[in-house]
Amino acid sequence: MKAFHILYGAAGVLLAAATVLTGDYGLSKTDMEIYDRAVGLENDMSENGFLDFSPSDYKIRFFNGDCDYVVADGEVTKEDAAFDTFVGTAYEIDGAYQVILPTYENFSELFSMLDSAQRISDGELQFGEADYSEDAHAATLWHEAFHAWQLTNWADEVTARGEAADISEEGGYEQIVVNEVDSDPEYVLSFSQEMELLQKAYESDDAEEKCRLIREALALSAEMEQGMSAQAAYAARYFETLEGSARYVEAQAYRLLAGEAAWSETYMGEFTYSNGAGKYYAMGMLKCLLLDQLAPDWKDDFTALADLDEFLQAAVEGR
Amino acid sequence: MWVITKNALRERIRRKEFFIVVAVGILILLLCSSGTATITMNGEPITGFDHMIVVMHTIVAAVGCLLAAVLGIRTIPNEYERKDSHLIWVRGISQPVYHGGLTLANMLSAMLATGILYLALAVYVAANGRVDYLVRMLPAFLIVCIAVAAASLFTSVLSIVLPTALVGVLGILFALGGILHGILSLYKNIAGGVAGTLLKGLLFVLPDMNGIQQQARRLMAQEGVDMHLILTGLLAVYVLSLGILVFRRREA
Amino acid sequence: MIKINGLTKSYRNKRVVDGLSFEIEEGGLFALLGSNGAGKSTTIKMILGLVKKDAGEIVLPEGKKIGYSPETPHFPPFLTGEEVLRYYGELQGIAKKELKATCERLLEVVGLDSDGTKVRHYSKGMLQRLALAQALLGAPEILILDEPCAGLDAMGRLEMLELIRGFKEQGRTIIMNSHILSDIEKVCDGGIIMKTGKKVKAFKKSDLTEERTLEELFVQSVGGALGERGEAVCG
Repeated sequence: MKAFHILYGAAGVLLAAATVLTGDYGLSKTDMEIYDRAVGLENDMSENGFLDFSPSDYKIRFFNGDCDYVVADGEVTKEDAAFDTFVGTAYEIDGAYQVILPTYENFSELFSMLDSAQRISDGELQFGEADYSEDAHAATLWHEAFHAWQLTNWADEVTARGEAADISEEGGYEQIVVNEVDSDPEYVLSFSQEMELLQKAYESDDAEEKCRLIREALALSAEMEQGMSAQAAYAARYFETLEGSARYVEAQAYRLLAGEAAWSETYMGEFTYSNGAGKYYAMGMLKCLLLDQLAPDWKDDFTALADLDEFLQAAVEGR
Repeated sequence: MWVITKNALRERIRRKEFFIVVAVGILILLLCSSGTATITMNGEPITGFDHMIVVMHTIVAAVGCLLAAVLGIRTIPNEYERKDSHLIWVRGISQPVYHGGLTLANMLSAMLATGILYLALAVYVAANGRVDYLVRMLPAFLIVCIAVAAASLFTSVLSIVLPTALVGVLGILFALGGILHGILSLYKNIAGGVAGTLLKGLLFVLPDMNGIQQQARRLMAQEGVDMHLILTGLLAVYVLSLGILVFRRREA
Repeated sequence: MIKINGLTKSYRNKRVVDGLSFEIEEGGLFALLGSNGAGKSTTIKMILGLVKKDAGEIVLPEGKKIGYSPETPHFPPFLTGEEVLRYYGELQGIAKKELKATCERLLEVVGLDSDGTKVRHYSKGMLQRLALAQALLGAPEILILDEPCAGLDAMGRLEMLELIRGFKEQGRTIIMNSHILSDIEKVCDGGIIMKTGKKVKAFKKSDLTEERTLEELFVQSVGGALGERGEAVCG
């Protein structure tokens, strides 16, 4: 019996040791690869990129649910979690803006779960396959790093403008859109029309036709703005500029990583009206793509305070 | 101990719950594979083997774990209620040997039930001509048995010392927690605060039964298998088995 | 010799065995008598180690095997009598090659057939016999029988008592617990009478006569009266 106990104890020790040894400690290989792939795009992205913007300028914190693995200057360090998050964000830590991203494993699981939940709400037993790829996560890194760049350079100005528009909290922008804009059927119609016009403009090979469509869209945009409150108008601009441009950067990174077909399927099929801020992400990205076609140097003048409509107006003037 | 196990196993497989749950599980499998259930993935109805096998394997493992928890609830308490234990104790059989034999019977009967479901799965695999999957079903089944064993052990060990109703609740919660480990883990990240901390603690002690069954499926599909998850499951089984040595009844 | 000294057991602050002391000589049949709730079964269970004593001492002769026949035996209903004996025999470590013969012999001794009848079809009497048979596995020197005649009809009781007498004549020490006094009187060599956990009277067979029956002794010891049929009716 004693021999049995000794053997049983030894088996337990071996099992525990094997479990510990096979554990994945530190930043996972997948997340490190995602980081390397993202940062590896810098040369290609900088050719048509924003001045002085490189994701590697910012610390990237991968949050695994317990702590942050911080990647900077080629090194990985473990730190206490800045805060619990299940989405990516840029946040000021120790006086500098850093990117916080959930690990790929956590984020892709959340993505699947939310996708399934949304589909199930349609009344059918539906599952969302995990089509949130590693490339998508690398692109998200670019998105959040772009926000870090925006905030590093213009955080105070953006905040001041928000306060001037009497919108003090981040969540306030979304709330204004939902309360005021989404419940207005005329706005919904006009916005959808503007989006359609700009999409046609993007797809058109005829320069004249392209400009005509853009002018029509800009006129519609101006008309809509007049019908909105100053707060709502500012919220729309805020999302289009900050989020739309970040979405554009994300899409460009994804295009390089996953290819034209995947990029088109993922980003170019989302130009429909949706409640909340999401529609402005798509609209802003579309405007950035149009600017690429009409005024490739537009990024040199871009700031977080820019008005993309003004940029487009300048691009089509004189054509 | 094997003598006790054999006898208990003969009794287990005669129980109604065993057959009811197995029948339900097979029914679900048949429904899934016949296309009558409107299960879709990404908007497309699941008909493809690669999608169906994911769903069906998850169901098999989940039913197996729940059954393991249920079958383990009353085995040991029944022995004491019927005073079967008297004729064991007087023969100088130690409690760990006695309880261990009964627990082993619980685990084996749960694995047998899961094995029957796995056979139904094998029929589906064979009907789809996927010999590559069939060949690896036995080792995959053995991996799933780790999760099933953990669920069975938990209720069996607790039933040595706790009232039956409480064991039932805890056992089913344990099995459900293990099956939904991934979702709970996700929620832990979202929740934060006290809820997040509590969940963190809970997830540390709960074996990831869903993760284990995923490794089994990945083995069948010749995808990479996370050995750490499997070893964690085995470690959980080992730790739970120590409860048989630790928990004792004062009287027969 | 089996020695019991100051045995005490309480359940929920109620003393069910209270400072019990007695000795049992080797060989012979020792009876534990008392009304329901006197503490007889609890005493037996403490001797067997099934119940933990709160205080006191139990000294059992070293190296002697004990066989136990419970009051309400329960066996797996899907097994035959022989399979039940094989099960317990294997647990006891009886060699497989002698097990079959041993089981058949014991069934014969207690008057059961090896005809493959499942336990679920056994009568009360057959169950009691099977309980006795499993107690005899391993040829124990000490037999502890808890109400071996409980639930049996008159003929069943006579047959059971005859068996018990036979075991006594083989030189076994038997401790028997019963509340059927007339049965005890036929086979016992001595015993104690218990009331509310205490020993109120010890007796030997030689103390009993035609004029002074066990029933009278019992009634005197625990209080009560003799009923119409001469049975002890206890207070």
